[in-house]
Formats: sequence, C-alpha cells, structure tokens
Amino acid sequence: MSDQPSSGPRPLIPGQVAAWLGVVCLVVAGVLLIGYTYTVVRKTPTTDVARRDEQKKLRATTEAKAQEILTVPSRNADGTWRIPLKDALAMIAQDPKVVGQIQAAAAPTPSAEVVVPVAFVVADPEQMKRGAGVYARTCIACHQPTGMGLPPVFPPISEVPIIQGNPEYPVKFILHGLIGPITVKGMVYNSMMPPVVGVSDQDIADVLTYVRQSFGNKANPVSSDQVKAIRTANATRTAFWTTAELGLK
Amino acid sequence: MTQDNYSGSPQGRPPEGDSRRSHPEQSLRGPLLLFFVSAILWLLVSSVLGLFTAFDLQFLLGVGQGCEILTYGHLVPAQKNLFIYGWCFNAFFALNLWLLSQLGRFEFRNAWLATLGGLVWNAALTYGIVRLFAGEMNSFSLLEMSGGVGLVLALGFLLAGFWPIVAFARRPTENSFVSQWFVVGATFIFPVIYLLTQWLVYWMPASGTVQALVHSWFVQNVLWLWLGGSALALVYYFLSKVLSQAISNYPLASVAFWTLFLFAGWSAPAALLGSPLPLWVQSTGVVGAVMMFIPILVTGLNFYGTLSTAGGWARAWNSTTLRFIVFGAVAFTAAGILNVVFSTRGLNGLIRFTAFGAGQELLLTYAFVTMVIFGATYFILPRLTGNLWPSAKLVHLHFWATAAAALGSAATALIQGWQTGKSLADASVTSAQLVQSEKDWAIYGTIFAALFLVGHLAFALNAFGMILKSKAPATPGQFD
Repeated sequence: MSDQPSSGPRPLIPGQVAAWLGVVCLVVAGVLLIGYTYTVVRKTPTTDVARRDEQKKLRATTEAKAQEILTVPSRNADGTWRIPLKDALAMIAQDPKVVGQIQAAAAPTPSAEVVVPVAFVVADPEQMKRGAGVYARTCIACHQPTGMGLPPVFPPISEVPIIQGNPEYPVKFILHGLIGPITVKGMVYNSMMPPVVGVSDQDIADVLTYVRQSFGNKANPVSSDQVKAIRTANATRTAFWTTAELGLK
Repeated sequence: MTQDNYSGSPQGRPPEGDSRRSHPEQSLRGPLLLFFVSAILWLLVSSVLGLFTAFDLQFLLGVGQGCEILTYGHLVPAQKNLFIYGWCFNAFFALNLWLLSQLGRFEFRNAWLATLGGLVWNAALTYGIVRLFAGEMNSFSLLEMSGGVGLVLALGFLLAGFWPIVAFARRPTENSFVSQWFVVGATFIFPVIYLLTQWLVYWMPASGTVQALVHSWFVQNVLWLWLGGSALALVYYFLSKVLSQAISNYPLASVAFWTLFLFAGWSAPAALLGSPLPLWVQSTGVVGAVMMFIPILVTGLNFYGTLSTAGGWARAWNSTTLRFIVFGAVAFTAAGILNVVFSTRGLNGLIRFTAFGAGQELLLTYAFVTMVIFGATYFILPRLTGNLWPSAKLVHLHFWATAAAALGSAATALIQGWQTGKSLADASVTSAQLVQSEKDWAIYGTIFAALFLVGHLAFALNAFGMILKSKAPATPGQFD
C-alpha cells in the first residue's frame, strides 16, 4: 500500500479528500468555463427575449380567458347572456336532453349554398390518396388530423381563405417556411413554420390538393407544374417568408 | 486479485472460497451496501410503476381513471427516472468504486463521504419523484425533476460517484487497464454534461432549437458514455477475470475508448433528424452516429475474440456472472448496430415518432447495462457480505425472466415501431386503425412488465436474504 498512515502529524485535509477536492474543482471549473463562454459568445438577442415575454403574456391571457369562460357568466355579441361553462356542463350532466333542446332552438335557417366562383374540379382520388400520405408524414403534427391546428401556436387550415385562394401562398410557406405574425380566423399567430425539406413538387401538389379538398375546404387541385414554377422563381431564396412581404395579414 | 474465482457455478451457488475479502473491499463495505440496497429498492419501485404503465396502455386509462397520480403522464417519467437515476446510478456508484478500488489497490479512508453522497443523492431523488407525482415536472426527458433537484443531484454525484477517480489517481502502479479508462471517462463526463444541460435548458435557457440539441446531447451522453462506458468497463474486467484470460486484440481497446467518447456526443443531432435544426447540424449527427460503428466493431473484436478462445463461450454460460455479462455484451453490439443503421436518413424517416426508439433504448439501458450490473452484482455481493447467494433456483428464475422480458419487450417495440412507421407512410391506413393496432400490441407490454417484476423480485429476495444475514465485518484481511 502506498498510503500507509505516517507517524507525522495528521494533515488538516486527508490526502484522499484533497485529491477528491482537486478533481471536483477541475470539473466545476470546466463547467463554469464552458457555460460562461457560451453565454458570452451567444447572447440571447433582445428580440428573442421580447418574443418570449410576449408568449408568456399570451399564455397568461389565454389562461385567464379560459378561466373566465369556465366560471363567469358573459355576454354574447347580440346582447344575450350565457352561463359559465362549468354550470352548463353540470346542467348537461343532470339532463343530457337539454343539449338537443338548445340545438333545436338555435338551429340556423338553411341559407343558400356557398357560391364557388371558378368551376370546381374534383381531384383525382389517386392524388388525394397520395396527398393524405404526405399530410400524415409532414403536416399532421402541427395542423392536426382535423386540420384545426393547435391555437394559439399552430393555426388551423380548415376553411381558411389563404388555403382556398391562390395556391401560391401555401406553396411558398412549404418551400421556404413562414415566420412572424399571421391572422387566421381573427386570431393572430406569432410563431414559425419551418420549411419542409425533402418533398418533391409532386408531393407538394398532392398535399395541397388534399388539403384544399378536405377539412371543409373546397378549392381546385394544384398541379406539380404550378409548384415547379414557384420553386424556380424563388430558387435562390433561403429566408423565411413573412406576411408583410407577401401582402397578407 | 490473483486468486481464482469461480463465482456462480451453473447452480448459481459459488463455492465457499468466494466470500474472501481483500483489504480494499473491507473499507468499502458501508457505502457499497448502501448503494446496492437503494439500487435494488428503486429497481423494484420502478418495475411496479412499469407494470402500472403497461396497464394504462392496455386498458387505455383503465387504472388511471379517477386517480391522477396513476395516469400515464405521471407514471412514465417517474418510472424512467427511477430506473436510470435510482437503479443504474446507485448500482454504478457501487460497481465503479469497487472496480477501481480493486484495480488500484485503493483503501478508502473517508468512506463516510461516499455514504453521505449516497444519502444526498437518494434524498434528492425521492424529493424529485414526489414533486413529479404532484405534477411539478419539466418537459425534457430524463430532466423532468424540477426545482433545485438538479443541483442537489449533481452535488450527490460528486460526493458519491467521484471516488473512483481518486482511486485511479492514487493507484500504486504506473500502468492502467481498459476498465479504468472507461470508468474514469464516464465519471468525468456525467457531472459536466448534467450541469451544462441544466444551465442551458433551465437556468439560462438557450434560445430556440439549441435547447432541444443540448437535451439530445445530454441523453446520448448519459446513455452511451455514463451508463454504457461504466458497463463496458465491467464487461472488460469480468471477461478477463473470470475466464482468466487476456483480452484479445487488447491494443485496439484504446481505439474503442477514444472513438466512443469522441462520437457519442456528436451523434446527438441524429436523434433530431427532420426537426427544424439547420440541415448541416443534422448531417453532422448522422456522421457522428455512423462513426459509432468503430467502437462497436472494436469492442466486438475484444469481447468475442476473448470468448472464442479456449472454450470461452461454454465457460461463460456456466458462470452466473458471465452469463449475464455476455448477454449484455451481445445486446451492446446489437444496440450499437441498430443505432448506426437507423441513424441514416431514409430508415430514420420510417421509424421516427414510433416505438422503435423505445426499443433501441431498452436494448441499451436494460439488455446491456442492467444485465451487466446484475452479473457484476452476483460476483461482488458475496464478497462484501461474506455470504453465499441463498437460492440457486431464484438465480435461474432471475436470469430467465429478465432475459426473456428484455429480449421480448425489445423485439416487440422494434417490430411494432417498424410496422407503425410503415402504416404512417401509407395513406390508406386511418388513424383509427393505427390506434387499434397499437392497442393490440399493448398486451405484450403488460406480459413483459410482469415478467420483469418477477425477475426483479427473485433478484431482490436473493440479495436481501444475503445482505440481511451478513454480520459485522470480520477482521481485515482475514481471508487474504
């Protein structure tokens, strides 16, 4: 054994503990050095901090609104009052028939069919099938199987004018992503859609055709030539699109 | 160190001479028993929680209904954290310290510090798990425990787990053995990555995707370097010790060590393929993951070369310790190859978001790491307690139950993941059909969770029977 107890006075810190302290100091110093270097080299930009604060505020407001809907009676746009959600649920639990009565009373008078300006073309079922596959692989995580998205982060794509209008916009979003605020169904979404990498022109055409004829959307199919034209026109682009640049809201 | 050791004959009953203790073991008894006892207790708790989790999946909230703490979202992180931080960490505190004390002739004079570290570690873990059940948890896997728990755990690690490095630094010999490199590397790497990850994910969050990247880096390092590295050290040690044979292709072992430690961290972004990370980062991850083939290949040459000489396989099968450890070594090779193959873009796209990843992780943390821990425990506990394993039948039950459950659940998860991936890419399969097929698989999860619990109970009964019978330490060096 190398460290037999010696006959001299006992050291203040035993040798083994001193060795341990040395190694611990080394590790702590290493961590501090790497961490400090990272923090200094890569300062969080003020815009990021502002966005984070804004998101926190948005979350708090949403939470408050949800609580209000649950517990406080509130006024409808037409001036009538509605009872808090909690009480409504209790009422339904007591007598499930009440829902039917309310629905019957509130049923709207059937209105005229939505007028589709351009002659509507039903998509090829094969293309729809392929599109559904692409959707399930790439879009479904954020925009959900229902196309309703996950407000307030991921906007819905169901019955949305941007989706049903000129296919140029959704193609651009898919190719290069979208960042910053966009208004969908009256709600402002301030987040980011990453560009979808590794999809062909045909894939994009298929998935857009699928989306434009599902989830209650009714718009004409998209062809791969249309996508190709947009891709070539923006071949050199690397930046995300913003709604301001596209003239959207 | 030179005495012959026949730990674990086929009947799991080592001969009398096995309860010899050396000087180093005498000084380690206190902290090692604390680590072993807490490890086994956490293993039992985690396997009970695992069974509940499987029930939750099979009966879709059947158990969790009306009882919030038994819902899937509470059970899974609790189970995973207890398995990793409770079982694996405590076991490696004990095994690493034992291994490097043996190899470095280290007589631990301040063992109370390690005991204190063990108490701090387990107290912090208990507190963190209680908070987790109360709903106070973070969203990053393996970092769910919130509040100051991370800092206290790091302190506990430094107190409990850092002595192997001291043992290495103060070794009386010039030369060193491959097991020592792996333990020292693993022990150094954990506190560094743990503290840095806490820093960049929670204390001063890095912005955007960097958080996810840091977290992935942490998980890869913990699984491959801290758990994997420590377990590889045991495989190297026991292969040559029990077979009384030099490791074949030994000079290559340093290549395995350096490449493993170099590329494990770099393979982290490969777990994030298809995410909004910049493409070049993802590609770097793929390169790192594919380079991991080098340590897999070299450890394979070392292990299977050693086993293939002088009837090594048969002798390994007839030794309780080596039977577990060789099982683990084969699982390491399998997990490594799967990791390399499924980090390539095409295949990764197919198995992403499926049970496949869980299967790979199980292969690594259970079939490899845990089985190696079991094997080493069968060797060490008799020497610490001065007793024999009470029941050979329980040893057999333990091996067959855990081996079957490990193989079965890993295979189930891999096949299920592969099938789910194919269905996800197939537009004609609806979500409802997918959910139904996942439900059909859940029954296997329950069966294997029950089998795990049976095996662990057999192990715990045997171990506690031995520990509780053990008397106060005999005079040091009595058996030398």
